[in-house]
Amino acid sequence: MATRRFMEIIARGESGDPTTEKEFDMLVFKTTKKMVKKYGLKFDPENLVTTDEELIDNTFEAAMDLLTTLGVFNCDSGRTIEISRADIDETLRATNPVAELGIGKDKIYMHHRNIEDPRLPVIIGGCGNAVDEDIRYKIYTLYASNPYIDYVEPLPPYKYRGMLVKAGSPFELTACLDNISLWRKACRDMGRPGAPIKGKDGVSAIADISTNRDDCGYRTSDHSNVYFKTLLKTNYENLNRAVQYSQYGMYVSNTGNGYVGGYAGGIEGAVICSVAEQVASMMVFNASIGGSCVMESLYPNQTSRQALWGTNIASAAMNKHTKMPGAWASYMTTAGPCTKMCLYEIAVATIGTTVMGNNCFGVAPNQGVTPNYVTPMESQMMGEVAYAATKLTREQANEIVLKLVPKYEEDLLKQEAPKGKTFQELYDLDTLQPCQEYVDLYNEVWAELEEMGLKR
Amino acid sequence: MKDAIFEEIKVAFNDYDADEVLELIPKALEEGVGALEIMDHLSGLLEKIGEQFSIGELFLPDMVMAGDLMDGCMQILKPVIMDSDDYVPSGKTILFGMVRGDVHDIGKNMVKMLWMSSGYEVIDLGTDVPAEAFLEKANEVKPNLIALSSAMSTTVPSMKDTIDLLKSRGYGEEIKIMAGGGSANADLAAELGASCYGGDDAYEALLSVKQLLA
Ligand code: B12
Repeated sequence: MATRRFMEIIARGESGDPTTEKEFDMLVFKTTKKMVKKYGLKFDPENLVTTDEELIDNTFEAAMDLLTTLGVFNCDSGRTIEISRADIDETLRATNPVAELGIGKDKIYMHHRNIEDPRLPVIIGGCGNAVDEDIRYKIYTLYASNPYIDYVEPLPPYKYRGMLVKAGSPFELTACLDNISLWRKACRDMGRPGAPIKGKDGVSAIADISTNRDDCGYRTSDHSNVYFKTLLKTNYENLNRAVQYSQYGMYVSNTGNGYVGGYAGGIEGAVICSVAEQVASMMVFNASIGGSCVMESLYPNQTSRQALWGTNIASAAMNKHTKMPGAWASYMTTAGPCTKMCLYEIAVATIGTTVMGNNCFGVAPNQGVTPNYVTPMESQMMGEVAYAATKLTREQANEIVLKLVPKYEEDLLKQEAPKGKTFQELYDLDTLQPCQEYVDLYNEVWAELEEMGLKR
Repeated sequence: MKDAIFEEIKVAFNDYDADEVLELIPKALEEGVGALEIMDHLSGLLEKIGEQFSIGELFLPDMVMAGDLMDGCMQILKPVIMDSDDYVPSGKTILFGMVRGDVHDIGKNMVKMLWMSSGYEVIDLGTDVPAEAFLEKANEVKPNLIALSSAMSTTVPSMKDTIDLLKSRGYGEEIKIMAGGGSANADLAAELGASCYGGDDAYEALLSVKQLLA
């Protein structure tokens, strides 16, 4: 439970001032710019895991100023849901610092973690790329039995009886139910029938909502994301998701999306928009779990210097100023499986976010758009790095991050990330063992990380 | 004289100062500067903003504001241009939208803005656009090109529905259908029966349109 006044808050969107979407977008742009200036936020390429407490505090204040100035726009009613400082204070006071996920012996506690928190984060793997149906179950058993992966977001549905799954169709609904059932089966077969899952994989709300069923679908002990339409906008489809999930009894999660180059403007604006969305989600979506997604949009990535700086500050601001557990690490890489660059990108994103207090979520290689280019090794890398990063201070983390970035930065800037290989190419499809090439590469990168001061 | 007022327009345009620009344009016309010349000057400014945007120096809202401003200027310039003898209709129209089910619009807006900044008229049907809406609009405006975007694999089937419907009504031959977006690629575009694949990013999208509509 994030707020008891959930229904009252969303009802404000029925009577607020009428605005057009375009006017609201421009207002976001102008107000964000103003806040960045007012609070003196500035990108610093040398301090990617910052220790500047004033910067972290100012970031949070700027985000709250933005949120109370703008509110959240409901595109369907054409009206604004106003949010006051009192609403925010009340919500932050009532925030539950732990989410109980899964059931019985397989239950997992996702805690709110502080900056430099020595407790191990929860590791959410998966998300990745869509995969062919004949390998989906195999990959899920590998996730379910991996010591570094607690649970997953399912890989997006892809094909149904040879057809590409079409959003909003009965086939999507069926494919989504099939997807979650398969994860449940994999968990049961691996001896973890009570393991949770992070949703959702549907494009349409009807597919997402209809997979909430205790027998084979999403349980009340799972959590499912509801997103804003960038930035700070929503609509009935997403409010319906939030209402149904809340009434069903499952946890709602959110990632605050700040994209450089969109209506947030530059990186500093993207950071405060991400924070503002997460705090707004506690009220507008009744969310109990957050995530600081700060990304570049011209060439989608989260491992450029500015994206790393932004993700880490947004994470720090959320984890310092709220008690809501956050889950975000190496969501996306530009390089693909079985490439050094991909493993560097995972490490660099995970070190910063773990030290800043997040639980971890990822990995979608190749920007998440190449079917079958995903294996459990990427999520394992995130998990193993995250565990090691709990022993670091921010200064140490920053030092390692600054050594890692130059290893791939040139290829990133040239937009020449290597695509890597598919699951079918990297795994023996009978024994489900990874090929020696990938294991060797994995260990080689780990040896480099140890050299840099990250203890495995 | 002309140089001075063009400089003033430039400064105001780059500040997205609509009031100032919309005052300066009639003034320039009064001073005898040709409407086409003014339009050319504005297009240059817009193109420059487009270039800065494509290297990450300016942002999407900059493009939106500049685009709006250009629209405003055209309201004044169009009647003047159309009255003059040397009016040659040069505007090519592109019908554009995200296919049914897809509400991602960051990429689409970038592509649209680059096209607009290079002088194409873009009719943007927005996101989650049903096949029928593309057809109706195409029948109404007879565009020079129909461009479809899909960011997800799960909306690729809608793209196919749209292409099939449009082709069944004669589109795809003279009026080409271009496929693009995060989930599209050249092979897929061919498989879906699109006339062409428009490229991996906004810049490539601009190059393909320039080539196609040359
Ligand atoms: C931002 C984002 C969102 C935002 C969108 C905000 C917005 N207003 O657009 C939000 C959070 C709302 C969102 C929601 C969802 N998303 Co989303 N999202 C993304 C993300 C991270 C980035 C997309 C983006 O903006 N990229 C940046 C732009 C610039 O790139 P682009 O769109 O590719 O456009 C460029 C080119 O493709 C090209 N281009 C684009 N259009 C055209 C057209 C033509 C003709 C041409 C020539 C070129 C061209 O030029 C552009 C500029 O360079 C992607 C991951 C990714 N790598 O793309 C996932 C992604 C697209 N989303 C995904 C999913 C699953 C969803 C949801 C279903 C999640 C959910 N369950 O709620 C919903 C679906 C909503 C819906 N009904 O559409 C998946 C799709 C998986 C699949 N099956 O293919 C992706 C790939 C992530 C993943 N791996 O899971 N998402």
